[in-house]
Amino acid sequence: MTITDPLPTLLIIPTGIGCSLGGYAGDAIPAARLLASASECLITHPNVMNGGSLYWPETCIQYVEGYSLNLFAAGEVFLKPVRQQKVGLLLDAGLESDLKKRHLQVADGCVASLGLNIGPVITTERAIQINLKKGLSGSSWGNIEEPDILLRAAEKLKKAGATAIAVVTRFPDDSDGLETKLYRQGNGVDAIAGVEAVISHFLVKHLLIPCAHAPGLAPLPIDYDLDPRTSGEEIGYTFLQSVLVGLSRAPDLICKSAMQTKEHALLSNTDLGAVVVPQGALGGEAVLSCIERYIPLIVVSNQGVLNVSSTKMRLDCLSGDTNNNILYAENYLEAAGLITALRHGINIKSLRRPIDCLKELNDE
Amino acid sequence: MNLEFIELDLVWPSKLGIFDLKDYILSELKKYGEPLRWAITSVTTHSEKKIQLISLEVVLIINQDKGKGINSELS
Repeated sequence: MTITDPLPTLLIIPTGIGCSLGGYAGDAIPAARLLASASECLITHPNVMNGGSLYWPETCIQYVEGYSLNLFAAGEVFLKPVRQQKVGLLLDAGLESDLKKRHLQVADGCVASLGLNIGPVITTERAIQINLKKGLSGSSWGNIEEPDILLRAAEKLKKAGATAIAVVTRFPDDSDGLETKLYRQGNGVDAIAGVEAVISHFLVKHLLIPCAHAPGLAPLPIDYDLDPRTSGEEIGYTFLQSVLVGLSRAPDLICKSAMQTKEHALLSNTDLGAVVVPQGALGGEAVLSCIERYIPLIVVSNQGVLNVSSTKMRLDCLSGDTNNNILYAENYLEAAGLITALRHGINIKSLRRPIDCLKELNDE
Repeated sequence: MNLEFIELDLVWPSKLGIFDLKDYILSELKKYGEPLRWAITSVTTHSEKKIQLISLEVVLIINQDKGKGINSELS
């Protein structure tokens, strides 16, 4: 390793918790690009990179779905960068024929205009039926009525040669609902994001290949007070294009138990130089895994509905080297500076004022 | 197979450090089913009882033949 080598960095902005940056339609993409530029190797998840009709493919960003991200952080899975995935398309039988056709046309467009490798396509035996739920915390969640039907279709795609799967399910329309209105105006939690994550978690858990989800929804009437952070979801008929682009270069998931020795080209959690997480969202599985492994934690102010902060998680009580691994940033610009300092071996303390004198070791 | 969304509170023992917290949570969740997606959504201190409570929001996979799940637990 040389001092200019990439510093693999994990960026987490949890889905469905209304973060002011990253809680909307791919509005964390600029932050991801910045951190990718600072680290030259960023691992992040679909909630960060999917902007409905908008996306930004970057060779040094690894697109890793949340369940596999948890496994990666725990050291159970390694990531193997690929040139291209063959993305199978799984369509919910609950999609109306016009809506289904729109999604097929997007997939065709991604082949014709972007050169992606998409197919085969399958439709579930019957509608899988989505239930949206909201937790007491205000986070969005949900479940599906027919998980076996979903899984059966996904298994057929994998068997037919798909190396990644994009799922489109019909979501309940809520164009007149208060939640939707608040979200579009930049004041609410994405009500459907939580269950989208549940769907992709479910498939990755069973198939261990990259999967991501796009919701099938009827177009909304125009909103003249639309927040720019949600605009990426208003400029097309589907949210599928960003999912297909993300999956097309998502890394393969290599199970630790299937490995004899670690191959050089694989990324593992031991390669991680930092994890970047919003203050208030420190209670997720991947974050806890990183804390367990003393991976430097960059806690960024990024308000959402949760208040699981460093103080609540007893991180402020830690001392010594462990506490030196916890860094705070007011925003993602500052986080990029911290990553740059870590990457180039610049002592963070030397960048802050006041600066303490060195202390001599005491023999006692 | 079913997916079930549940919310539950766990006592965070004072002697349990953050480095062991994930394993503790997972072992508690497995009493109800297979954890698919979960997060700590609040940590509250009850000074009169001298305990800290962790609130969790969770989606579990329930295998029907095993009969687990929060509902079966409560009934």
